Amino acid sequence: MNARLLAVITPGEEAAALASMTGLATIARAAEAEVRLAYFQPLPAPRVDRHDRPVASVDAEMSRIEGTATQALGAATRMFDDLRVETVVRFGTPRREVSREADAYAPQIVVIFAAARGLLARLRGWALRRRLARRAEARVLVLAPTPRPGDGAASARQPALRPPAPLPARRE
Amino acid sequence: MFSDLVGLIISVSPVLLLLVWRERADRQQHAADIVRADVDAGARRALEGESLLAIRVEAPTAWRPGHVRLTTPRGYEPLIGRAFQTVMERVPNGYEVVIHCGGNS
Repeated sequence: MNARLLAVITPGEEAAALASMTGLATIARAAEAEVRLAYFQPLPAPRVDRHDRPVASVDAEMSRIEGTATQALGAATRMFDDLRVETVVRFGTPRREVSREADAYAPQIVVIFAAARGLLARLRGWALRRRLARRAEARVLVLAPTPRPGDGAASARQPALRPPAPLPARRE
Repeated sequence: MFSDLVGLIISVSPVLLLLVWRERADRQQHAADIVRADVDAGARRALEGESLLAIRVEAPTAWRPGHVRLTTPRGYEPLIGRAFQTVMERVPNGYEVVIHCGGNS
């Protein structure tokens, strides 16, 4: 165990991260790295009912989100059986918290999960990668889901299926 | 005289800018081809010959770093693990490693 691997999960990338756990395990095993799965969430608002009476405070919401995330990620990391894995949940502005986490953990490899999403989310991901790439000591690795032939732009390039032409009328 | 010179510069500068931009893009593509050859050679050595690991390198541009894309067919992801160390050693600064695996499988 000589390398440290930080896997960054930002809001909106949860599904892509869970789907790419096999790939992450393969990479961590190849790099003989210890893994920290860091899930970043913005600070939640207190939960209120329809009369604006507080139902759950910010702390209660944070502990609920942390518990749910830890449980889901813990279940997904069972395939890391021979590796050291820890799961952390950080609250705050994801961009700032990712930088802080990278500074504190000092990883050699930073893994980012790329999901096919909207333009704004892609721009956010691009800015995050630029920020992480400036750190000379860490290599940025992007885990992207494999596109299927029927997905997105690939399907747009394929010719549309046409119904078969009708048979010519028979002459008697 | 001066206005003729300014007119000449204004009319020629787009062509010159385009040529400079193409020259720069061609150089970066050439560098990306060298990176691809190097990474491919390392991966072949690590995997002891031809494999189903596909390597594609995209040159860096002004707004994004270069990409070294590793792709395998579904079920062959361990190939990436076997070649991972070699690939990481050979990818230069300014390039990101993008691994396509597992998403929709």
